[in-house]
Amino acid sequence: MTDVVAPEQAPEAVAPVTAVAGGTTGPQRRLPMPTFARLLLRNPKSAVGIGLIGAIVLVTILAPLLTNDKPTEANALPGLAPSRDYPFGTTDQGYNVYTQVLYGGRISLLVAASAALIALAISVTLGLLAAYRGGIVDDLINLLTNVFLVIPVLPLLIVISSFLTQTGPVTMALIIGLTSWAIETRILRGQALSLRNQDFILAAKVAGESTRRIVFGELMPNMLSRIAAGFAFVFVQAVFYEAALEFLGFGDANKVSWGTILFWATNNSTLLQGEWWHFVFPGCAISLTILAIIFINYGIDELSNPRLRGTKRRARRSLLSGMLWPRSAAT
Amino acid sequence: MRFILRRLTFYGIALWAAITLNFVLPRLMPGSPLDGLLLRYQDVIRSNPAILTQLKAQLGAADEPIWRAYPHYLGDVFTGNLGISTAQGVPVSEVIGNTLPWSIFLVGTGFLLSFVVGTTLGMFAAWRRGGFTDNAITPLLMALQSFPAFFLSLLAVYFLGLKAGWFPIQHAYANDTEVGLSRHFLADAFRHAQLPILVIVAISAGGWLLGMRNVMINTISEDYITMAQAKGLRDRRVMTRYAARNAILPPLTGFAAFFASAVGGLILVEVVFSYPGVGLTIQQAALGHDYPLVQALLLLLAVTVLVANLIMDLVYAVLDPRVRTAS
Amino acid sequence: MIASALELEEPVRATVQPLIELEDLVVEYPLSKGVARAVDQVSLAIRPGEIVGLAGESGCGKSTVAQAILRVLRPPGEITGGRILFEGKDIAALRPAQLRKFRWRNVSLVFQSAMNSLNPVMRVGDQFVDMMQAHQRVRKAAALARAGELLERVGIERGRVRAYPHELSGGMRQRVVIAMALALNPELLVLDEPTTALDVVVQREILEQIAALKQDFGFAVLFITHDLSLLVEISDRIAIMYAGRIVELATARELFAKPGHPYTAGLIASFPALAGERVRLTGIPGSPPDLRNPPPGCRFHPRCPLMRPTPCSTDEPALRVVGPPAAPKATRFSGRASAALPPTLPASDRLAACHYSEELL
Repeated sequence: MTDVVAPEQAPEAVAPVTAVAGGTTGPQRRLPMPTFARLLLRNPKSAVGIGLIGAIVLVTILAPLLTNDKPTEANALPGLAPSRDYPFGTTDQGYNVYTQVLYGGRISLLVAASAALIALAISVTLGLLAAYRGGIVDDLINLLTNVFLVIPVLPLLIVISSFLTQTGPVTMALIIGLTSWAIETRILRGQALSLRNQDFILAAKVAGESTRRIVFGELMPNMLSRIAAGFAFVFVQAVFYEAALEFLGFGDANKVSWGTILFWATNNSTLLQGEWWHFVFPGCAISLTILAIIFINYGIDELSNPRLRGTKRRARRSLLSGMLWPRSAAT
Repeated sequence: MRFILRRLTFYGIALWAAITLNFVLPRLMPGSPLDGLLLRYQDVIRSNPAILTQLKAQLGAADEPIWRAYPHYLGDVFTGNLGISTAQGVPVSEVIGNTLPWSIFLVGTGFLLSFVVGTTLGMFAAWRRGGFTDNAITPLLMALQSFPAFFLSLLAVYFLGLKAGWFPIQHAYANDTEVGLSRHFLADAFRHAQLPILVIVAISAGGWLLGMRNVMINTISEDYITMAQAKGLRDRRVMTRYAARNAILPPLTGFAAFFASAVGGLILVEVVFSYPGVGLTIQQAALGHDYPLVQALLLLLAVTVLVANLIMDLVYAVLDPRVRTAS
Repeated sequence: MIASALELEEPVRATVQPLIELEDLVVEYPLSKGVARAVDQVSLAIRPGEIVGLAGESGCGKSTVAQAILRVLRPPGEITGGRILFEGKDIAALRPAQLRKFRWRNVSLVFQSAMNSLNPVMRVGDQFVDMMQAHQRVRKAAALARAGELLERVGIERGRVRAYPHELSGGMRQRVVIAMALALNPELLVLDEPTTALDVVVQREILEQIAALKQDFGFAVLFITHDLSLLVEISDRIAIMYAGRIVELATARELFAKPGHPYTAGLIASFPALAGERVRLTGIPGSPPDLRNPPPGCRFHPRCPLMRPTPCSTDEPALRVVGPPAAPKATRFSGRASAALPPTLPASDRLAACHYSEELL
């Protein structure tokens, strides 16, 4: 149908874009990784995204250098608005919100990254296997994927969490990874399908290579750029699900992560007391992270579909003149 | 139609999978959730021993072997016997009956509105590339998408509700309003729904807009669009009847995944607004380990997604004649 | 002409005036690495009832000419110079409402691939109807009836009016598009590679169909193709385009008998004759130039067998008269239509743009 790959929307209201209809991306030139990385850095949108996420990661790593307090020690006066000493204010229990956001990022990002890796591993394996083997294997995997696509993830996560006695970061990464692989599997399967019939795969098959060797040794290396994009997408989902679960109260409330800060912010009705800083800053942290990945995905989109790229100035003029007249009179 | 039959078969399988997942899940979990429950709900169980038997059956602690428990469970589900809510002491179906209508109201209005607003804006954004819609609204909605549903809800509640006082900030109706079909109640309910619906539109419209815009940009370069213009048709007609009418199809195919995640968004919005729908209920139930209710709600939500997808498939078949004649 | 329920205006036809005239037309596409002149100062006149062929390689600008006439250039293309005069009126200056009236009613266009010209989600009949309703007040039922008549005219069963495009074969779709192009009785029908996507048998049928329709309706035709052999039988005059410019313009007969430009000669030599001795096929070496940066001097000189460093690579040859005027000989396709048209077309100059045209002729 179309050749738009758009897994860029924030997960809880993911637009029904063609990313999901498997195989719609059509045959594309697959770029080798270094070229792809370079192009990504040159595209303004993805460059911004990469810069942003890099900054966020850096800041969380350098947390001890950027703040003297510890996230789990309540040393400050409670309920202070943002000031020079406390850039993000303090919570009603006396924690330094700035410190919490900085340190909290570590857990949030780590959990999300681990969950994304797990989900991606599943997606790559299932997607490529289905595309390569075809037949009944494809049908079964397809069925499984479609079923998982239709089961709403957040409720499922909530139910699973309710059965577990405790959900620390590790458990959380695991359950998120095991439930959010469906969308990417579809996309990767579609991509792999267009590669499958190429000569080099056929040659490997004739040479007697095992399925495992072909899938991981031939197919996968040619899809690295798409897999990298897939990681970005699953990562954004994981950031969201993790924060959502913690916000709803299913995480480990004693660990400090962006989601748990939000949980405490709403649990103690600090909202009603007007302490907006308690929720605004961690919320912004989450949003910025998601925004960064969205930007990267937009860049990838534009790389694969030149029509989406911005228009040059002269062309823009002719388009603008088309604005004054209806388009029929433009040229 | 072959197409519809195939989809129905799939949904049947998916339904079975959801039901079975519900059955299997508690049995997969490490530890025994039953013990904690027994402690917690001592009083409730004492007053209604039937609950204990039910719980045991549901959580796999009963003495029935699996191959007998499973059909038993299936029977229960299809006769509507979903158990009794341990936290509330009333049948689960009653709880669902009270809360489901609110959620349907919220989701129905919210997502329908976001679909209409999003796709219309996307259509204009693509048709007038470089115009106001494309340059201003598209990035705005794009940015809004990166705000998780709960964060946006919090922002809305705080700034628009609390600080500005423009909207009520929680519940579906004021505490002193009588429930009923009176005008007062309906007006009150409507007022309370405005902010949550606004939030839902803000999060989801962007996705529809971008999807529509991107597909539309590709569609516009098709020959039949040029031909339509060459025929001397009005611009507006070409944009709607030729371009948008075709461009809407691919976004609709992605509806499946979209709706599933839309349900997640609903839960978050309801929690922040304390809106008494199934979203809030499932959170409370899960936190309180009210397993019968939790499981029933998961099943309900899964079924809702399936039904929504089925409806969407039918709509798609109506809109795309190629699907109808394809074998 | 078919009697129909609709009242169509009879346009005033001038017997001597050209129907449509391109005067130094320039169409440019601003691209990322420069501006490409797809059409570079093209001048061409088409007389009423005349069939003019426009031939050239892919990318030489032929389709752009077609799109420019109807002003449906795809962005970022725009007309940056010259005029297009239809019955004396400058098309480029038409206001939107007038442009909409002009389109299809006076000039219609058959696109390269009919498959993609039809809206996949609308019934064929409805696509006729909205076009008719855009030009005159007519009820849907009447418009559908007319659409049915037109389909029969091109050899398609009337009931197919209710069909969707994907339910028709390739050849049928092409016919539908042709029928649609004639619905408003235009004076000029522009055909952009109308048969490229079809097999030879269907190709023949379509061509004969067009000829028969021309007999009845009396329209002029601008036939754009890369397949010169098609133009042999059907055209009155042929214009050869290369790299955005017209390099030769002559009657069909003259062109084939004795091409006045090495490119034309190369094209003719590229396809085999059905009968006669076996000859070695010679193509034209090299590929078309980048329209952002055409070669200096004569644009064809890098590929030309007659090339000499001067003046070919330094002076661009102008399109000039290189032979006595000739009248197109009536072939079986260029029939007469109505009394308003001249019995035969007047003679026109023979033009070519090569420094050595006289030597070739």
